[in-house]
This record gives sequence, C-alpha cells and structure tokens, in this order.
Amino acid sequence: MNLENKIKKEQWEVLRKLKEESYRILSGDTIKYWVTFGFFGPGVLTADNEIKALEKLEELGAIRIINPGGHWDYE
Amino acid sequence: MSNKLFRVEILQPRFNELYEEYLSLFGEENNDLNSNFTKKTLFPNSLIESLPTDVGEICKEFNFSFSLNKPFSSMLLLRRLLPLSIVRKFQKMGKENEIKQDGDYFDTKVLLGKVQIYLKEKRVYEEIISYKLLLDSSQHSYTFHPVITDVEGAAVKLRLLLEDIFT
Repeated sequence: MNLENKIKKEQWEVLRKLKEESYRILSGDTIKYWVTFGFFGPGVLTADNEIKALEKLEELGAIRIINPGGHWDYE
Repeated sequence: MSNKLFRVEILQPRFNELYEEYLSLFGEENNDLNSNFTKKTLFPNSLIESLPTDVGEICKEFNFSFSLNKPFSSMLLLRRLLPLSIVRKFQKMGKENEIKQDGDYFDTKVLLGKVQIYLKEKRVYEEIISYKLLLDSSQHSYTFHPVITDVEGAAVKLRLLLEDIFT
C-alpha cells in the first residue's frame, strides 16, 4: 500500500466510526467521538494519527469539529 | 489510558461523497485496521482475564509479538510464561514450598513434574513436555531457527495448560 493510500485508510477508519455513530445518535444531536490514548498494537491507529485524520476530514469538508482540539475526559 | 472527546457534526452531502469514494477504494471487508491483530491472537481475552496479572501481561505481549510474525521473541515469551505460570499456580494454592529448594525455585522441567498432579487433564503434561525442548532450543541452540508455526504449536499447548490450571 502506498503512503497516500495508507493515510486515506486511516481517514476511512475514522469515517466508518463516524458513520456508525451517526446511526446511534438522536436527530439533531452532535456525534461524540472518543479518541483513546496509550493503546498501541499492530495495525491500530495511534491517537495522534486518529486526530489528524479527523482534522483532515474537516478540511475536506465532510465534518465540522465543534470543539477543536477536543477535551480530555478529566476536564 | 486517557481519552479525548471531540464533538462532531456531519456535513452532507460531502460526508457521503467521501464515504462512497473510500468505500470503493478499501471495501467493506478490508475496513478493519485491527483485523490482522484480532485474527492472530492466540491467547483470548476471556482467558487472560482469569490469569494472574503478570502471566496475563506476558500473554498480551505474546499476542502482540505473534501478530507481527516474530518467532524468536514469541518463543522467548513462551519460555518465560511456562515456569512463571506454574510458580503463580503454586503460590495461589499456598503451596510455594513444594516448588522450592534452599530458597530457589526448581527448574522448569521439575516444575512441570510438580504441577502434573494438579492437572485436570493429564494429557496436557505430555503435550507440554514435548514442546519444552523446542522452547529451550529457542534460547540455547545456535542452530535452531524457530518459525511461526513452531510458535503457534507451542502456544496452543501452553494455552491448554493455562486453561487447565487457572480456569
């Protein structure tokens, strides 16, 4: 897989999660998208890359992040 | 582990356009980045949860190493896992003194002999002992080169042992 497709695949992973979550929420609600830090594994999207993919999707006009940068769960 | 929350609004029709484009690129079957990892896990979470913490940690580390097709590190982890799991079993039973002499634990072969009488399935002992040479060779032999199928066979036997003594 070339580098461009590797990055697109990361975005695809995020798109899929968003799509799935969009079916769970009530109409008019925003999606709560959680990114988990500290979990590593082969083929697992790192938290940093997951956030970059999310931000890229915003740049591509597919989503709007209402709280840019996100909030930690303890905030 | 910590988590970060993003509140997201989907913008149509761009979201669906992009979704369709990526779907045609990667398809539904290849959409799980974790799929290789999940498929190649030999010690299941249900077992790991029932193990002493440090034994479970080695199993997790083994799953990680095995999923990357790393036979040497996987084999060495199994070699570590075998005596440790037996020691933890005896500690759990309050019979640690049965596996010690002059303050030191017996070697793995003797430990296996000691745990034999506590096994529900006696065949597990026979299976493990036949793989012990393979595990030892991964560390002591300079001519032996383990391959991933060796690892898989040994891991399945060890999994049977762990299930027998901890579940």
